Amino acid sequence: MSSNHKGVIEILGRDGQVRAVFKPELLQGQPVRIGRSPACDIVLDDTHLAGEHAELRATETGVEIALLPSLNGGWLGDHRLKVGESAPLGPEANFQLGAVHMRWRSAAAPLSPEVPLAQHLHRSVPRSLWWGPLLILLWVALMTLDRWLASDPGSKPIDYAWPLLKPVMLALTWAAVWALITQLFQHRFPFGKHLRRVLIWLCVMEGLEYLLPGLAYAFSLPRLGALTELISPAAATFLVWWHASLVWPRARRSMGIAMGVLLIGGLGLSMAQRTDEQYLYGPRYLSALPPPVLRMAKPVPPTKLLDEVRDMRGELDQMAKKDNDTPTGSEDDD
Amino acid sequence: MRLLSLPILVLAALLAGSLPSRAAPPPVKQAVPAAPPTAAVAPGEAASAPQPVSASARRIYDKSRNELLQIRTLLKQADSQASVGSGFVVSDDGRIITNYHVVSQFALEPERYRLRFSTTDGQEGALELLDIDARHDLAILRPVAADAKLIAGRGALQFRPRTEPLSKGDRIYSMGKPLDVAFSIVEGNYNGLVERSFDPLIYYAGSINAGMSGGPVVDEDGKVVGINVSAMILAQQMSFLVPGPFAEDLYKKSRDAKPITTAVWSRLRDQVMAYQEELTQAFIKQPWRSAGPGRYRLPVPQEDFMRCWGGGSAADSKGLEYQRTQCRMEHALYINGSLQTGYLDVQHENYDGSKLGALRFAKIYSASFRNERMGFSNKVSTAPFCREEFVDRDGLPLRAVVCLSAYRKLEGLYSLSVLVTTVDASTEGALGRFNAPGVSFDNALKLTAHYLDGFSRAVKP
Repeated sequence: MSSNHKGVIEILGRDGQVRAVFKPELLQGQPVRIGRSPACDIVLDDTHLAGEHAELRATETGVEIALLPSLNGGWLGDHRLKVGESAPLGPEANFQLGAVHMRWRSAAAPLSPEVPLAQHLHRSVPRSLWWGPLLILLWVALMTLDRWLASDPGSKPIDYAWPLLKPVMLALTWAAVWALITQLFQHRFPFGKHLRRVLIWLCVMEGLEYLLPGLAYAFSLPRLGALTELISPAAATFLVWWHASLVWPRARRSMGIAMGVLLIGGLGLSMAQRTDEQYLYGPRYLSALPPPVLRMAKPVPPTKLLDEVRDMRGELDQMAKKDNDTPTGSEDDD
Repeated sequence: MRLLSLPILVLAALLAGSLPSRAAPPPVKQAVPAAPPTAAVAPGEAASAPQPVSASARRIYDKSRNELLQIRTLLKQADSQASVGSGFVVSDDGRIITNYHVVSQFALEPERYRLRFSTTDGQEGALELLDIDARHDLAILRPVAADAKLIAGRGALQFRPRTEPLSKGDRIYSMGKPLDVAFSIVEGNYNGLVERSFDPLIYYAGSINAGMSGGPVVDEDGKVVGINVSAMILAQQMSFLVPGPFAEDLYKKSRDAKPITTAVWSRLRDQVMAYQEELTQAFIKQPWRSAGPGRYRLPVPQEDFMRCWGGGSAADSKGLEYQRTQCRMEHALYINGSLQTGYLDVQHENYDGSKLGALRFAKIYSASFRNERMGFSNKVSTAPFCREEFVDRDGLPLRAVVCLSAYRKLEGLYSLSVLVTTVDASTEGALGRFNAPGVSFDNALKLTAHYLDGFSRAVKP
């Protein structure tokens, strides 16, 4: 038996994905029948098929398909196959019987190259199971600290319940929605993986919320505030990309570029709206006042600050002239 | 700072009171010409039910009605009035005194507005603006040559001599045309000058309403003692008058001035510039008062021309305890509907977070520091530009932020805000704020230095 006779029949879904594979044993003089009847060699569950709809025959040159009597007949590629007609399949061919799409792929057909694996699919599940509860605990601890700092002494533990529960529920919902999206495209539901990503992100953000203003205060670096404001949109974009790269792992690069462009565009727009401000980004002044032990910068004499203010004058006067449409000094004073 | 105390807001309404002439009358009345319907009702009522009117008020009104005017600001191309006020004739050749804020729309946009007067007997004519005194909210006008005959010969109100001051309780009479309804006279009492005011301002216990701005207030002899300027809203019969001598001075200085045809920005600028110079010098000369108990000595101004209000947390507070003091000048210079300037405002809050601990205190202290509004870029001024440092004040470390925005049309004048927090203690702190809108750059620096000088550690007794 030549390699032309070795091959598989793949049943294709509407999305072109392979749903089932049959490996018929094709010997000359022993046709393989396809149809709804249990007597067939390949039994398909489609009401548009006749009991015995078609058969595959091994010939000298390869394999051919022959249509048995049926109402709906079939197609070979775009060619309509009539009842009683037979046609060679060659090394590879798409054909349709009733409403079922199928592909004949023989051993002679060239194989597409092996695609590198995007990620390890099996170990990730137990790992996220481990990290999940730990991350939730860490995050809840950070939120509790936050809540504690913002409340007066003697507030009841029950006061913490909602402010802590609500974000946790939101994070779980967020992860579930991403898992559902993944399910849609990848036919798996990696809830733990998405949850882990959003939790890591939340913990880092919570930490940065204290770290950056603390640093800005310690070393008197008010412009770090601008960084803090830039980080939020960048981090939000990153999180979406991070989730999306689980859903469409092969597109992670192009998604990264697209989202980066969107982010830069958005930042550019918001800066363009602030051309009248002293800074294109960030708050007007550093407002964090952590405990004084953190202060590393040495205080300067008031005259130094006044000198800095004096240096601002040119910039300020220039800004005042912008948009000042009334020419000053036009009035002839007497 | 988290809260602004209520009493200050109510008092600040004094400034809003200087707007009355701009408050548009109800639309129905606006459409009606000044005289007919309202005037038709009033005499009818008077005839059918004679009231026990004050004989002197009738006498005063009869004596002054010829000199009393309504001053209207109209759109240049249309007959609709943009604002109405009052005014009066002070010389036989027809010089007229009113408030600057009554004519400010014309003064700042002469190409869009025009000024007209109407007399108590229904005559109307066009006006020219000769000069303004923004500091005292006064303006001097005259009728255009073609309409001069309508005013000339009507007589002139005389100013009460400066050598004869009024006494508290003296009966005085305010006149004008409130809300464009009808010319009217209102009896009230002279109550001396407003205390703690930088410039003298008469406290008049009588009702002044929108549209009466610029009208004369006369004594029993019909001599002008003041000019209606503002009223305190949410208060009863609390009105304010510009003392007559300032109007007399303006008349003497500018009776023959060339009429103003272009926007008066540079004149306004010069006037505000001179005013802020005087104000800054007077303010810096004063030593700071001590701010009472606590760890710090904080800058609290003398109450010579500022008024201070204070408040604090409830005594049984479980969290942060604080005390707040705000001192400000309640009188500002009116420039236009969106800008009042030329005043000082000093405030601070003293925090005691010993019940909170260092971390919780840091959180709430930061939030309070962040919660400061610094203004934004608009037609009037630029966005605030700030510089900040840790500043050492005799061993007391401060975080100081100095913000300035420049006025776009009053060149060389700036609005200053200084924010200061103490950063030496983990559960105690003070947050101070100093505002000085309408100062020169040099004075902004001087005032900042003066304000920072007011911070130090309290001297242990």
